[in-house]
Amino acid sequence: MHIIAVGLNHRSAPVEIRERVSVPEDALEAVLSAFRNTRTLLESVIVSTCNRTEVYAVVGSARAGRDYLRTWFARRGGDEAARHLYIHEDQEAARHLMRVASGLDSLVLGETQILGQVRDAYLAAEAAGNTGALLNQLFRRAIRVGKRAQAEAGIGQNPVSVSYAAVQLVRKVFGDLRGKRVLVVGAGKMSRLTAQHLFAAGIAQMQVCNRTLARAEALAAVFGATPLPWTALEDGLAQADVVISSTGAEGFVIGADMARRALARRGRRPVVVVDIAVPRDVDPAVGELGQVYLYDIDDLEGVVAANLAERERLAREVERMIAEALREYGHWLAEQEVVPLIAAIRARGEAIQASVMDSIGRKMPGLSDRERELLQKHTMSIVNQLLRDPVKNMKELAISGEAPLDVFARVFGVTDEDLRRHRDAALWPEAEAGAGGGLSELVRHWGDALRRDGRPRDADAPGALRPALR
Amino acid sequence: MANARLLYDAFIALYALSVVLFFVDAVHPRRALNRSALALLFTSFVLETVFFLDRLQTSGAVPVLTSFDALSLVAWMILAVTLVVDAFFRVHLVLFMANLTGFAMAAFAVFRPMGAVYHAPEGDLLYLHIGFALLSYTAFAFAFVFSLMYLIEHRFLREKRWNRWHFRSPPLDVLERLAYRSIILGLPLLLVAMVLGTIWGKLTVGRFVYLDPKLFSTTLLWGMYGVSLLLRVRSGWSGPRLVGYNVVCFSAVIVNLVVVGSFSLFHRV
Repeated sequence: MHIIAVGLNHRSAPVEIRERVSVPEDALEAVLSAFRNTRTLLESVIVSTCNRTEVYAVVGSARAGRDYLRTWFARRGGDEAARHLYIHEDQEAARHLMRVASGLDSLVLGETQILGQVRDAYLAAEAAGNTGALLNQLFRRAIRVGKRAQAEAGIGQNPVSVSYAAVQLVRKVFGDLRGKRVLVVGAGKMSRLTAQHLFAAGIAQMQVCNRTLARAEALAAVFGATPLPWTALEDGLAQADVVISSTGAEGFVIGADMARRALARRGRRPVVVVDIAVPRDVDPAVGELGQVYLYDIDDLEGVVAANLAERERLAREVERMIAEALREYGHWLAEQEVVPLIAAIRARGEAIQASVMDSIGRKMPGLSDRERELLQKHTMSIVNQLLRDPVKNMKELAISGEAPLDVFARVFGVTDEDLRRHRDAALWPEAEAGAGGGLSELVRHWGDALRRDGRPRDADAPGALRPALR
Repeated sequence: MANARLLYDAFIALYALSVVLFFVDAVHPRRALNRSALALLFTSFVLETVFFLDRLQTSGAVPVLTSFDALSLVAWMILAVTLVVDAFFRVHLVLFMANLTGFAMAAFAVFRPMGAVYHAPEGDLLYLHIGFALLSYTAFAFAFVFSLMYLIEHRFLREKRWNRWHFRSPPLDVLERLAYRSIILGLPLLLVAMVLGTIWGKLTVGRFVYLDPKLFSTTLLWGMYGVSLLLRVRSGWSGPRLVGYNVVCFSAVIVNLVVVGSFSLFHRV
């Protein structure tokens, strides 16, 4: 079986192609259903956002899977769409998904929104019954890596937009913005955007000052702020902890003298002045005054550039997290490969034990229940003890990749048919009623066998492990 | 004695290595580097603790009476506080700066006589006096660290330099508040130490000793921090000047601890 990722994104395809192949929310169920009903795709998840449409699938044959998905994309977006596709297989497909979930493959490096989109895509596919053991594990691990990228590496913490960079600078001075007062000078689009970010950051009081009072009132109404007439600008300056200025004025609207007078009224408390206007609203000499932290648009762009560089540095850290997660996923996959083999060997042992018990039953019909129980227990114990070390070593050798599994299969006389049956039971929980899949399936199987040792099922306390499983 | 020296040298070496790794981590952040530095810091803390316990056992006296002890104990307290705080929060640069200060004190202590053992009359009161004084010095050391960090961050914000320090340093507001709170903590501790010391002097000598230079300098030091506190309470914010003044105050702490003690009748050991 193989994992493949086929799709296109903002780097590989222009928007007119992306919009054609994207899967809107209301069409998702139908597409998932079509994927579920084909024999080519064993498991599938569709990640479709404004910047990418990707299908992650588990396929029996990589070639058949590639062809099927290439055709699917071509049907949605035309032959041209197929030319913009990228295809990743196995480890590269898993790595790609983890990079996507961590925001490393996004238009804005480290953005956080994609993690939610990947999670939603996975949950939708899982709810529709399109996922099995392989994609369940892969997506859960990818989402975990995405969360670590945000929480531990903090890749999305440093803002990359000018308006949000202003908030970052304000926070560098004041930390917690609750209780701080903001003066917005000018009622333009940038003022509105920055005010919006400041409000989201917890600013409590806001005043809006504009040459046209009506526009100030209109913007103030949006944020529940207080409008100020243009003549009261100096008063507003004296009270504010943060000043956001973005007017269309030709000259400086906040001069050094006005700022000096206003600052004299506010004591030693600092003030952050963010001048987003071009031409500038605030005289650069204001920045020379004590306790004033003055930033213009170039400074904010400098912050954005530094933040981007920091995100790139953090991306390297996230790549290490991804490598670690891939290694763990590889181990898990190796375990999954060995599980059917162990289960098959185990089943052979149990079959031999059951046949021996039948033979004893026929040859010694006078055995009491107690004697039969004792024989059952001891013959099962022989099987357990014989298989314990080989099973343990097989698992270790499979994970380390030191020995090919087919050698073990031949040594124990396990046929391909046996393996296929047990693999289906391990990887496709739906395929066999009550099967848990993976190692849990093996443990359950083993537990059942041990319970057949002759002791009643409820002889042990609930949850207590038999010696062989401890 | 030789063992104690060896222990202290090992502590200093590990402490130095840890501070260097923290510095490299501050310039080129690496998780592995940070973890190694932290492990070394913890090891040096354990070594210093063992050193003090060994000293306590061999000398039979609580090792707080010499200037060597005082400096290394303040370093030990800085280590303890930063390790505990770092276990709960990620304090990055604070950890580095505080331990740089702690290391400087521990390294300076090397130049003071280490083996001196002094058995004082009315020992319990004296231990309390010194204990409170050292706690206040530790609080002032933290006020110094936060103030210094404030000044550096303030400078970078004014000069518009968006470097690693900018990304890792706490906001100015937080640094200012922590420096202020450290002084609030240190000031009453120092006052209690002064009162206890005066009482100990009266009990030992039989009269109040007014003319000791240490008494003058410590009162002056207390007044200096008092002025800082007063100005901060009045304005609600310490600007860079007042924060700079806190740094000067801490220099006075060091002078008081190391230099003035040599001229004192009671603090000469």
